[in-house]
Amino acid sequence: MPSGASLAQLATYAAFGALLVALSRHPAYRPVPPGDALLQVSIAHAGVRLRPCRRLSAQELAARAPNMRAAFKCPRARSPVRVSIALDGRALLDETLAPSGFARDGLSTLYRRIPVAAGTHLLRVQVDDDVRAPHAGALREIELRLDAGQVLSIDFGPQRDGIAIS
Amino acid sequence: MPGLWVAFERMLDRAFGPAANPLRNLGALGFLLFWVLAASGIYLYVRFDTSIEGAYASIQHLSRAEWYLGGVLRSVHRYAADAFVVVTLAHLAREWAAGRFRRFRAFSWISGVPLVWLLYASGIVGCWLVWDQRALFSALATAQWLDVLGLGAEPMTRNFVGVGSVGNRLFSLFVFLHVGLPLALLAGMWVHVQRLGRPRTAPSRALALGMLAMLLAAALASPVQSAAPADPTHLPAMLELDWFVLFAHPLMYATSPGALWVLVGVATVALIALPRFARGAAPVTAQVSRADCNGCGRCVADCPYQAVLLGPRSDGRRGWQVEVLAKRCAACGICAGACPSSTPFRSVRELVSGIDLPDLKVHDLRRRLAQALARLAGRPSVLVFACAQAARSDGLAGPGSAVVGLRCLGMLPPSFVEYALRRGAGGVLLLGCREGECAYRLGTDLTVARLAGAREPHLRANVPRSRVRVATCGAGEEAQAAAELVQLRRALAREPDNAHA
Repeated sequence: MPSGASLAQLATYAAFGALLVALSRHPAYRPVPPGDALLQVSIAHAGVRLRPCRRLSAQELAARAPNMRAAFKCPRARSPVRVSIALDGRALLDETLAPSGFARDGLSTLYRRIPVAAGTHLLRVQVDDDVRAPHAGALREIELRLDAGQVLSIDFGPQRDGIAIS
Repeated sequence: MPGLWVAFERMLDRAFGPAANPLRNLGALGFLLFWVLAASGIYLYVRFDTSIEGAYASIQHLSRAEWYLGGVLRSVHRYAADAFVVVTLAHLAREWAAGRFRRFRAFSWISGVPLVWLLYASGIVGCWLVWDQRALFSALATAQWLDVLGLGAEPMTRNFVGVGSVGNRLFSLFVFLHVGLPLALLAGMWVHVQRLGRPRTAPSRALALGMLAMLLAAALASPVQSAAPADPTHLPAMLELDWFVLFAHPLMYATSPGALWVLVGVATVALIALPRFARGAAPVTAQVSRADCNGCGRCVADCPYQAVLLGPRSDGRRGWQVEVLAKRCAACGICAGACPSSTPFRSVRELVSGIDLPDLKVHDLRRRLAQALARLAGRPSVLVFACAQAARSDGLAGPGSAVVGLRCLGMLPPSFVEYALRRGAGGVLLLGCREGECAYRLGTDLTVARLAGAREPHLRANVPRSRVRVATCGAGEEAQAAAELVQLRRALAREPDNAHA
């Protein structure tokens, strides 16, 4: 016959074990609202250089140390990248991404999770990587059917077919 | 410490006994769970396919085809990680509630803060190795959180977006992290206990077996299963999250990555800064009398906070001398209780010990003992040495009994017990903290060991043990302390030769 202390020990261990089992899987978490799909926008793109490279004159080259006489001077700053996404004519996202880095010469990056209702939609994605020429960048419009729980990735890479939707 | 917590701990004392009470051994349990994780993890690693294509399948094989060993060990591994989180957070809360972050405790407190980070980092990366939907969700959420820092040329999230984005090389990094982070955690745990004398890094056998049995029972009753394989094009409607480890992801999505950084940053800074803003009055720390110290090292061995160091003598003579590091000293007086020169039988007018508390010297203790003995009247008389941190002792003084207060029971050299009995006390009651509640960690344990002759300085064998009683009563247990006094009196009255005063 187990003593009262043994039963109390058993109850304590059982309670601790039950807590571990319960909270290691419950309550279940909804990563997206029920019935929704997820647009996953992941872009890392360097905008165009704001100023073109300039050939240095002979006089300028002569003023430099011999090991510093590169023929061109290329200002490093790049244009911000503007990303606009609309679904069925409704704007989901419209952000202007500053280039990274102290010299503003790095990638403009964006990661967003946007839950949208499942169903058939008209998706419009526009990426402008030159602030001097707004609305002259890449544009893609596509009608698609999204299932609940589907994750649709949106990426941009001029060397990879421009706006990629997968 | 909050009364409710104390009451709960004492309730568990009745079931487990203080030595096996989980709440009194949270640090030791943390070490045990680490070794359980290491042992089960080594087996899982041996059987684990570290490629992105094979990881999921190898875990599934272990969980299903070899459920009796691999599956059970996988579940034990997971539940041990969850238990480690619970035990660590409870340990942190308990030490905070008890105020054990000030002055001499600051090092242990501050060195414990990074361990929480390492524990969570180890656990989160461990969840990724299964490479199921939960793992992908967690990896992506973690990357999104880290991307706020703007480290690296490209955002980390891009490693997990789109089909085929995760390669074997990245997965190898996960495996490396899940080995490296726990090793860093172990190193941190070692540092964490460096300022403790005789740290308890292993629980009692009963507690260890109980915890292992609980983990095994949980693994058998509810085996851990993977979710569907990771698929970047699909999210399940519901994810079974391990809330102990992965709670930060839903929290981040409910707020923002930046908000989570602020929360975590503020919590970390607040924990690290806590000792600085809660210093309190500095105690008058122990001092060494070079002339009376023979460098025996007993105080070094007994100091609960590694505040006393042994080194070569500085006066050119051969031998050793001790030195007190004031910042680490708790001024508990345990060192004075351990010093062989702290005997009241020395026939010197001014009793000077090799190591002593300037504001409560052994000489003062002898003087107060003499005054208390002079107050004793009636038979059988009892002299009570009472720790100031234990149950209040004012009610114990009365006809036939007198009380000498101590800062900690461990500061009492055993020879004082013999001295009291020889100078007229019928019996001696030593009132210390409740087992597991000693304010200076080791005071009661050391005293009991000294009285039993298991530790130097010991109570001499010719002192009748029937006239000495140790009572361990915590704050609020005054009635129990009074009952202990009554029991000692009764025992003394029953003695055949009741000649003692």
